[in-house]
Amino acid sequence: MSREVDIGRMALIALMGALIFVLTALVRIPIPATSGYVHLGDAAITFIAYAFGPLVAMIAGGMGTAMADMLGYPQWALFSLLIHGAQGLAMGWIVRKRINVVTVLLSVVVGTGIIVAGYFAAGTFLVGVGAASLELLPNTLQGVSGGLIGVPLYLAVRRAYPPLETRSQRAA
Amino acid sequence: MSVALDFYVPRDTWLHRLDPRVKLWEMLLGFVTAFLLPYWWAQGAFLLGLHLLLLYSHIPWSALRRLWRQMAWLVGLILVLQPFFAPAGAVLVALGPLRLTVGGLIEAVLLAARALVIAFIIGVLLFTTDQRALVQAFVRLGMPYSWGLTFSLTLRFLPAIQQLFVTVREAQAARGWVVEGNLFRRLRDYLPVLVAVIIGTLRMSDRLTLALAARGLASTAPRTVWRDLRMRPPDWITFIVSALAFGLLLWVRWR
Amino acid sequence: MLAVEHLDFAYPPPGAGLPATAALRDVSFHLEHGETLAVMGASGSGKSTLCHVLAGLAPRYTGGHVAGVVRVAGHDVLATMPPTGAVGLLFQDAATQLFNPTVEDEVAWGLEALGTPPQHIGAQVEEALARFGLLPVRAGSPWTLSGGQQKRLALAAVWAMHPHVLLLDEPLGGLDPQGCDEVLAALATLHHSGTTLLLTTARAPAVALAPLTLLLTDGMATSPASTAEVLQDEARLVKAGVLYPSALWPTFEAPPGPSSESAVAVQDLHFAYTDGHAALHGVNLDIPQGQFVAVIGPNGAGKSTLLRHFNGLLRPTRGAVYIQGQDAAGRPTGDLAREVGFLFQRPEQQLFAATVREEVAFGVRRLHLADVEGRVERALARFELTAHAEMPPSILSYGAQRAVTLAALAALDTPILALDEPTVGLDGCDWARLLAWLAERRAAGTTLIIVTHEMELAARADRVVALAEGRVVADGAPDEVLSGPAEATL
Ligand SMILES: Nc1ncnc2c1ncn2[C@@H]1O[C@H](COP(=O)(O)OP(=O)(O)OP(=O)(O)O)[C@@H](O)[C@H]1O
Ligand SMILES: Nc1ncnc2c1ncn2[C@@H]1O[C@H](COP(=O)(O)OP(=O)(O)OP(=O)(O)O)[C@@H](O)[C@H]1O
Ligand SMILES: [Mg+2]
Ligand SMILES: [Mg+2]
Repeated sequence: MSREVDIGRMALIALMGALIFVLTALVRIPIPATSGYVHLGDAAITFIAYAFGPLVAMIAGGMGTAMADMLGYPQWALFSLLIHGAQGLAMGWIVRKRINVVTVLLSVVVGTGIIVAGYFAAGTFLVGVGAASLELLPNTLQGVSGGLIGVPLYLAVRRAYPPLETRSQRAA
Repeated sequence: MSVALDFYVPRDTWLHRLDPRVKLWEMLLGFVTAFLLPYWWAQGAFLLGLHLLLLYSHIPWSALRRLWRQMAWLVGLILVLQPFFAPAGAVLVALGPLRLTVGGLIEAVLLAARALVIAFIIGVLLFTTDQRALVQAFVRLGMPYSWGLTFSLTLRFLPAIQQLFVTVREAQAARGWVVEGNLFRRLRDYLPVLVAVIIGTLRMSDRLTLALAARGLASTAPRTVWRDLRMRPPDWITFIVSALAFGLLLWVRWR
Repeated sequence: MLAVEHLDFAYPPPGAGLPATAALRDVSFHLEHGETLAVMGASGSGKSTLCHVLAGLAPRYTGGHVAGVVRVAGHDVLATMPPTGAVGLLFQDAATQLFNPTVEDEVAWGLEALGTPPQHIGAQVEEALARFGLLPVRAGSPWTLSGGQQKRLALAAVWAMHPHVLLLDEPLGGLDPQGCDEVLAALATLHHSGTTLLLTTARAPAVALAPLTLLLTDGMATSPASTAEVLQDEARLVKAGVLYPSALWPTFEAPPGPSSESAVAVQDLHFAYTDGHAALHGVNLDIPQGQFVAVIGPNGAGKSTLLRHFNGLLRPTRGAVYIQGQDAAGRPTGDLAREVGFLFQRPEQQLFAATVREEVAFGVRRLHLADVEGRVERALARFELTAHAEMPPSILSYGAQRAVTLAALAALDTPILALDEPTVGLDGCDWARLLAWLAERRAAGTTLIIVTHEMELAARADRVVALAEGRVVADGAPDEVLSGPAEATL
């Protein structure tokens, strides 16, 4: 267990990264009344943080979103790696011991905060304050909706697929 | 729509043959240079150089156009917004509190060109390097093999999970599943699809675990590498020349 | 070479408070060097589990409880993982087994893991690719290959590691007729070259290669007997769920009052995929209510493409589709679902609900159909699922999961059923369940449209439509179409 590769965890991380990628790049739900859209990548990261803890969520979250950026916004990839990695880590860490109203709210608020602040900082650096500030509202919506859908998603998978519990313990 | 992440354009050119470790090094130098040069004309020249390099390496126009299309929205946004955030110099137009200035415009052009430069530097790497070589480059630079493999596996399973997602969505649509209503309801409508996709993905990960173990990933014997990377004289020369050029740039800039 | 004695295996309980699944019970057999043994068993009988245990993967990577003895070339597999490459395993789902960017790398990967000196790898890769006829695709990526090629590649990758024993888990499973032929040819050369082989199968025809066969039922194994003998005892094979001979099939009785009203009508249907690939070139078809239509044709003929127009998963590039006399254009799939029930391949993938009851009720609620309770209860009772009604479908056996998907479809009670190769990968019991239900629906007047490669099933239809290269090439009664010149192209 110690030095050799944990194959199960590795396969899990790889596939969760791919899941985040697909849900980020493939599912775009238009926000009525604006031209923007919300994707399901943050919902996936939230699910992973709840189901498999901070480590898996950090690596899969950072890697999956960074790779999704390569599809259209390559210069953001490095920042996405850090921002979503931090998001997964923080959310997973907050709910690692118990899941109740307080930790759930806290995890969603912290997760959203990391995305909004992170992308604003990265945007200021990359494209200037102007373009960056335009992304504040969509990113907030994105983060909040990620939590709003990710938490029920976790609960639904846990009910529909009982083996999730044993897997969670193994992965964490 | 396919989300497969494959930019590689297989050709046999000098840049394609260049050791990917050297390409990563060039990329690093390129990034630093892009951020060190606050002149829009220097960024423009840099961008032109990157285009010439790509065309010289037989990368088709279509690939370049795709990159431009992806960047178009962002570049437009910067050009429209940034001038108003960093006003400087002579005022061209004043709209209430908003002032369009010469300095602001130049700043915007600089930022837009820089964003393009970064995208094209990444393009140079991805268009000319196949996935296996790229991963192996990181491994040779000290990344554990299992990290490299994890990354490759993620790439490998993108189409599989996309297929799973599409299949599940179609199957549920055939049972009356539709997405409608406001944003939150639309998101919630996705729950059944997401649950099925996640269960499928977890099962896939179980099977993958067995497949990796069966082929000897757990083996403690050292792995060998077929067709490993090797630095040839042209690689060393490129490496040294670019380092010298970068040093020269630093010297000119801060002399 | 391979010795198995009193092997028991149970998976861990799927969740707190649930019982463990005993997958193998007291299995014993021996396999000498160069012998070939077939393991026949229904879906869920434990074939894959047996392969995983023999390869040292279960319980090591799956969890669970094991007892008994397994020796491969003298190595105690249950105590320590067999040396890398000693046991080669062709997984049931070969696609998951292939994880490298190119075909060559796939074969080389295992050799690298063995620590083969790099200068020798090239030649060995070449040899393995040549042996399985994969040299032409060596630079391609594994997941763009056809099903038959993928299986051959997986085979090449494990064969290159020179295993003592090769375990083949359903080597023909899920393949179309052409893929089957390719893999059978590859297996024949292995068999003749003296490799020790164990192959599992859910359907009878695949065992011809093996002189010895063992029958697995619910994790219990018979002792190996001569294959000819095993195949002769038809009654026993039917009981074990591996056979469902057409003599036992239900008769598809026509509904009482034949109708002349149209159920599905297709006019001059053209369709091209977004990548520009034209799959249908002017198909005309009128299917009256209550008719049983089989759609046949070679791979890539456009059968699935045609069927997907019936519930709006695809929309005509030109031409029109009418469902029950109404133009389908402009109606979303979720709405056409009221009229057209659709069964996909591997339908168990779509299961998501926390209980079987919710799963079956999903479509009924979504379509706002009347009498939700009644429909769900009837469907559950029809497929003998009432006892499992409160269990999550994801932890049921494969057979029960398929029954859930049928129940979910049955609860919608649609006037039209469209089924795309519904029999692929089914064992005898699943076939029996599916055909019994279809016969029932037909007698009740439901229009049945079935895409199939099974000519015996097509022969039972009222009408057979043969497609080739996106066109209808024959359309008529089964005895006309199935004996006609078009059949040669199938
Ligand atoms: N990972 C698992 N956890 C718990 N139970 C399992 C697991 N895999 C299989 N089972 C159960 O063990 C039994 C044997 O399954 P197995 O996959 O070996 O059957 P099989 O003969 O290969 O079937 P098929 O023809 O469908 O592949 C089944 O009842 C199945 O539901
Ligand atoms: N999503 C797609 N994009 C592009 N081309 C496709 C797509 N799906 C199918 N095709 C092509 O359309 C043609 C018809 O495919 P279709 O799946 O309808 O054939 P089929 O008769 O169902 O074959 P099979 O027996 O293999 O299922 C084939 O040439 C296939 O390669
Ligand atoms: Mg199996
Ligand atoms: Mg088809």
